Amino acid sequence: MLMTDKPHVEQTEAIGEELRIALESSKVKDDDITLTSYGYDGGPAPYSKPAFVVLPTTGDEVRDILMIANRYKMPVGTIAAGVNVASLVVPPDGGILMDLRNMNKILEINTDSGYAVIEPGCNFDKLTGALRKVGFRFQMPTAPGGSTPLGNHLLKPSGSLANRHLDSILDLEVVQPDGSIIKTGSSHFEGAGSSLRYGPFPDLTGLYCCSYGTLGIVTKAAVKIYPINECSKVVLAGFDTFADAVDFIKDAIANNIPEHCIIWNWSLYQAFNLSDSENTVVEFPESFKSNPFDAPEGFPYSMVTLFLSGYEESVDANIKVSEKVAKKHNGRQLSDAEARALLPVGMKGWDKLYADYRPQVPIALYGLGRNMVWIVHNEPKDIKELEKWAVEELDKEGIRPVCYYAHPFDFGRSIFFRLFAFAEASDLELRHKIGAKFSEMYDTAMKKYNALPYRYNVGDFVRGTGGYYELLKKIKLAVDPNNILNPSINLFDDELFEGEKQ
Amino acid sequence: MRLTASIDDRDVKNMGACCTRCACCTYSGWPEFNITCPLYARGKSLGASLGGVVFLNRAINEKKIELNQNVAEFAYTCTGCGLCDRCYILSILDPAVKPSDHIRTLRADLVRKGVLPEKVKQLYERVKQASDEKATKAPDSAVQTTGIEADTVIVAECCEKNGQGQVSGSVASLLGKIGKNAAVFAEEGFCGSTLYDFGFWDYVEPQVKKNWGKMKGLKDKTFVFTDPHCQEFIVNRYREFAPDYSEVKARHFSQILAEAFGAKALESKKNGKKLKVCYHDPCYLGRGLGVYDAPREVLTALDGVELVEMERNRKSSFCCGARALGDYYPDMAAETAKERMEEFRATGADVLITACTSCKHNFQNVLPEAERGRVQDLFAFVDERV
Repeated sequence: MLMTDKPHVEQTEAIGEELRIALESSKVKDDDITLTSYGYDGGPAPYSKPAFVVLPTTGDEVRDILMIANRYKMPVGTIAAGVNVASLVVPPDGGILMDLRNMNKILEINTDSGYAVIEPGCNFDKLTGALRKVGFRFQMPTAPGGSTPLGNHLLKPSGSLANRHLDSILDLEVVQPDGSIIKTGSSHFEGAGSSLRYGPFPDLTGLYCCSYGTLGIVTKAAVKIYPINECSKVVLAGFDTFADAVDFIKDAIANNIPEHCIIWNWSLYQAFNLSDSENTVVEFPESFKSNPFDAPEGFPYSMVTLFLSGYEESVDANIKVSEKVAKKHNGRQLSDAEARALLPVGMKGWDKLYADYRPQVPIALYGLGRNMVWIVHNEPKDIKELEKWAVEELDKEGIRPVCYYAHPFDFGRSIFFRLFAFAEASDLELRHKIGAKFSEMYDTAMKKYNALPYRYNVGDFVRGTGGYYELLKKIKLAVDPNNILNPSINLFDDELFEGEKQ
Repeated sequence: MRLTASIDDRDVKNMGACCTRCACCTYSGWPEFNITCPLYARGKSLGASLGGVVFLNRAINEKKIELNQNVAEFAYTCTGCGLCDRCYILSILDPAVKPSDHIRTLRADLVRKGVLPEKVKQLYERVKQASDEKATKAPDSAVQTTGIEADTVIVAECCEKNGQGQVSGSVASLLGKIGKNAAVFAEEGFCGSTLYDFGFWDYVEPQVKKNWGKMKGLKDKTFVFTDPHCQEFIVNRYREFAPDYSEVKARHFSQILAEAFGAKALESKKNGKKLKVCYHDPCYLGRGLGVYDAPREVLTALDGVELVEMERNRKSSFCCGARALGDYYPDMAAETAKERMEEFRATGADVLITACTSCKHNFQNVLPEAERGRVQDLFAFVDERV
């Protein structure tokens, strides 16, 4: 069926009956209040009201739902817990919205090999809390604790707060629209556990990463976990240019100095000081709206937060080494007293973040009103040029302050760059202006600066990828010939399924 | 929250647009993890949470759904436990607008439209009638004194009117044992908390102004509260509705008792029966006012009393459900109380103590007659043992 086709009323009633036979009736919601509240995706997508919200609690129920939907060719959008600010899952109008929040068990914590097996509705707060009790941690995002590791990490290779690691997901259990259930990674082999993602066969885990629920529904996954070291400290190093800061973090991380580091531009790191301990709203002072290339006196243009962990002796030794490395790249590492005097709120927040290994929304990012974000990945040499250009582009539009942060992935092979533009939620004119500017910037960033878009829906890029998209389409047709899985996001054209409809 | 506010106001809309559906309004605790919103515990979906209310309000504004009876039943099924006020994202835009004000604003709109659940309709009629009667009646005296020189004023009217005379009796008895002189403050009717929470906003401001008019003359005294709803509303909200409001010295009676034990002005009887007790944090005393320690200090000062905690306690305490008047989920008040009683039973404790008469009554209502004595009021419990 095409996503634009809505099921007939009689058909919807029949589907409802079948769903209620397959699941307890309390897990199948079709009352107006529930459907209406799920009609928004939390992002910019327009209102779209599903016919049913289903809340399965087992993989078997997910299978039953998909088989019913597939038989009736009814679209299914799936969310893990629903934290979604980028319209990555749009509720199918008149279709089924599958909410996996009640599949939230932690099935196994393996501290020997270092992985946890979780259900998709298990959120960061639940997982990080449980891991902490056994002295372990997970890769953290800059997302709320109510978001889910699977919802978050299936969209990207790693948590934001990870510099040394990629591919946080080891293996998956996936339900296909035809009801078949597959396992990827080493858990595919009876009794082998989940310690290895790659095996003697092609990596099917990767197939489902960044597929946005269009190829199958994940019902279980193993994710990498790490022991919490005995000592941790946060230090700051300041730089007059972003390029120096990039060279510094590459050098530092290549030498295994920090466990994690982030580069903040002057207006963003200073913004932490605007929030008090209760996250009370504050406005940007005028000083933040000055030329974004001119940091105020006494504040470096770029500030790097370095998080070091390990045995106490090695942390102390590494603090000395990082001081040397900062100098080498024309910067200066601040003493602890200096750092706490300069950024008291920020240091307190970073101490807590790294002590708990619990995702927390950075105070300044939300404490200053709703922001819009522009995110790309790039190689280090390109990111230095891109930074200058991106800041200038936003500034040319009169959008101030310009705030951003950047951090390395995978030992600095790739740099993540996240730019913020602040606009009140009700200021639709400004938000549209920013949105249009961001679209234009994605286009240029890809063409001129070799950047990679962070999300699929920032442009129509996938259709320009030639053989890559052709293969994806073949896979999609093979696993979901009726196009029932999250069709509303338009990752695949309706026309692809025309032949199937006949 | 401005009493003229409606769900289509800019502030409310802005807050709504900021909800990321992170579900922090539904659970609490870290590293522990507990579902704590009674509505969510029942519905286990986005719809059954403050996030659901936020998107429902947006849908009403965008004419996707009407303010109908079903919406009314839903709006008043929320127990008003205030857990959702922990949401930092919805708290940041305007400190005067709490996340839970989304549901109060929805209720106010429903009242304006006259679409209400039957129980709420009856309550509203009583409020209107009482207000009309009061307009023709001479005002009560502000202070009924037991010692005119007293520097402490007990605010007990709401507690009394809720039909829990026992509390006042215990308070008077305990004050006598401490040797503290206190006057009793007679509010002009109710404090206004219920009017505010249930959306009867036309009646809030006159009520607040009348009460504040009496209270401000006693500003040099310490106001001591026995009803958490009353204290929370006066301390946290009166400033919004009485332009000349200024901060008062406010204490909960459990804090007075804790101090009295600390100063040896109050001592436990030595032959107290050995008892294992749980303390249930009333939502408005705990999350609303941050009073968690004093009641526990008081209980542990009693000879023979062993305090054990229920799994969900303090900031993560689960509501008693008393204020659920809608039928979106049938018997919400009773089912919520039953869930909490199960948690109490799991501790193996003999007695459940609470410091809110609404909590006590709602718990007792779901117990068989023979077991009702297992739920007791903090002040009465203490009075028997000192």
